[in-house]
Amino acid sequence: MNAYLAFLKKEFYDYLRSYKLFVLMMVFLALGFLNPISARYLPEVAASLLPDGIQIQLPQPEVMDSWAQFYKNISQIGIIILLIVFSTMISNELQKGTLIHLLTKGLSRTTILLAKYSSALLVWTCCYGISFLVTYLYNFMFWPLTNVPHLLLGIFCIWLFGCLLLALLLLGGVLTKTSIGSLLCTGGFFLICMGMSLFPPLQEIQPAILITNSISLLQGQSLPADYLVPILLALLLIGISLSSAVVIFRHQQL
Amino acid sequence: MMNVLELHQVRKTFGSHDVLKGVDFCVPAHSILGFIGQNGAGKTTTMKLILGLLPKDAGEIQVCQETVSFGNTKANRHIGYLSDVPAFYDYLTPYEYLQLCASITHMSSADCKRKSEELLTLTGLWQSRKKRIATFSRGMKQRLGIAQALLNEPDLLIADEPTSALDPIGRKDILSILTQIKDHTTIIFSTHILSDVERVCDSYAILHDGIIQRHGSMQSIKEKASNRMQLEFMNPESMQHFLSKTQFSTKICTDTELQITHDNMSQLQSKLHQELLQQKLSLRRMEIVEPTLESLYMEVVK
Amino acid sequence: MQTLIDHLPLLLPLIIIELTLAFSALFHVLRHPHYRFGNRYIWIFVVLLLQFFGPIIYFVFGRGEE
Repeated sequence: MNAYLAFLKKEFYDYLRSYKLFVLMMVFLALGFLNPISARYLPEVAASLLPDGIQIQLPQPEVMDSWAQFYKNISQIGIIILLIVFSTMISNELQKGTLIHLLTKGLSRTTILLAKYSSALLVWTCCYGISFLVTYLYNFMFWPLTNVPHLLLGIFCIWLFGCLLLALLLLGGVLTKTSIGSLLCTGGFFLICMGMSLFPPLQEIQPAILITNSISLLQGQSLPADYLVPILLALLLIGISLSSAVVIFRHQQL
Repeated sequence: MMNVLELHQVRKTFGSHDVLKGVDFCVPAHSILGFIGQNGAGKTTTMKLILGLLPKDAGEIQVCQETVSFGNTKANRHIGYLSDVPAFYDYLTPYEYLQLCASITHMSSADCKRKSEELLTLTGLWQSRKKRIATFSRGMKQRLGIAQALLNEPDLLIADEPTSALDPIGRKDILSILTQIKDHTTIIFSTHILSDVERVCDSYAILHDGIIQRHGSMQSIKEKASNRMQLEFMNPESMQHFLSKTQFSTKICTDTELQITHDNMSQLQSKLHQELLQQKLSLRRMEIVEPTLESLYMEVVK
Repeated sequence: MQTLIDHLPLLLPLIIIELTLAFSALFHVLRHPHYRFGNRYIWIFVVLLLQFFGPIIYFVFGRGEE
């Protein structure tokens, strides 16, 4: 436990002093502001750019537009930057050999991976939470009616998918010892999910539905029950990736 | 005396390449062993086997009477390890790094503070304790490597070519630190720099062709009966004169110096005196050539 | 356009974040002469002119060892 906490602390020194946390915080904070503002003003800006005399009927922006922006921005830019920043989390250590001395002091390899994963989860959760809070507060300011159905479930779906991608990133890093390998492993998984979505029976259960489709939950086009299987599958995949990463790492020659 | 480290018939193969073909040696407590071998002889492999970082193919390794197995780091609590080019986290300060190491080895924070201060002073890093490791020179990193290796007061310090990547001053620093700590710790250090071994070691082991070819104490090299004599003449002419008459087989070193090899040293000396007396030659210098580690090493490797 | 100016206070956070990113990256570029690739002038250019992405690319990919 002591060793776990010490390694966790070391990870946070890394995030702070290598500007990783700073970059992520800024990106997610900016996304948080961007969602409501672009939903609120984009129609007006678009209208003002049209030549005089042309009138088009613009839909009144509503809170749902802001959440649609939130889903789109977080699941694209947000997650991509998250993955890029964390892609080096294990490959750097393996390439530089910084773990050798710690291993010879009796630090267990399982502890290393668990500390790495939980620190990444903590950062992801905080950044995501900040983004969510900012969007939520701004929505509150712009639109009196901010209540949307199943908001928290939709938020949870994206968070869970982020957790799954981080676990895959760790597995890819252990397997290939490079950051590119980490990203390819995660990207490959996403492509498989997309491939699965082409076949009707698999469409409903593939976990990428958690980020590609969860806005329909808010709009009432799908029901929470539809997400049960993908959520369970995502949890199962997190468990499998982490445990296989641990097993592989324990038998690796460093 | 108790053996801190014992290796019995240790074998290791990488693919089709037999690196270690049955390595045997022991290190008694409170001694410094120089582990000598050419680059690629398998020194690092042997050390990684002792640390349980690589799986061995056969044989047995015991550290403080505890058997070492791959992936299991239990025996490592007796060991401090220093690699040839230690890699650290650039964004930490040496003090933070030592704290991290201390927490891993379950040290109390009071112990950690006392020990870190002691070791940072010993290794001359006290002035730089608040600087990031990124700003350190190679020599400073190597000294920090020693500090982290000694943090949990190990019974055995394993140093893999600690001086090879350093400049002469850095080397001298490391060697003097090693001699300072040998009262508390047994040290095994690998190197291909023979003068380093002669400077600090109590015993040596030469690894060549996958087995330990020679081992023993440094003292035993000196005690080993010498069979060579070196003569220096006053001038080249007298040496030529000596060469034309002598009954011994000689090896010419320079135009006034030569070496004579003979099995019986006292017989050689008396006969040599007679010869010199008959020829009315006088010498500048006459001495027994002590066997050195280098001559021993050359004999093995040649 | 008028509405944008009216609501400038609401846009301020975004502007502040962009400036924070740009200037912290700029200071880092100026204070550290070593980069993983590129040189100082390229990075100053990237950091100041590419909004949001410039500083991020610099901190994640371009920043060299100290």
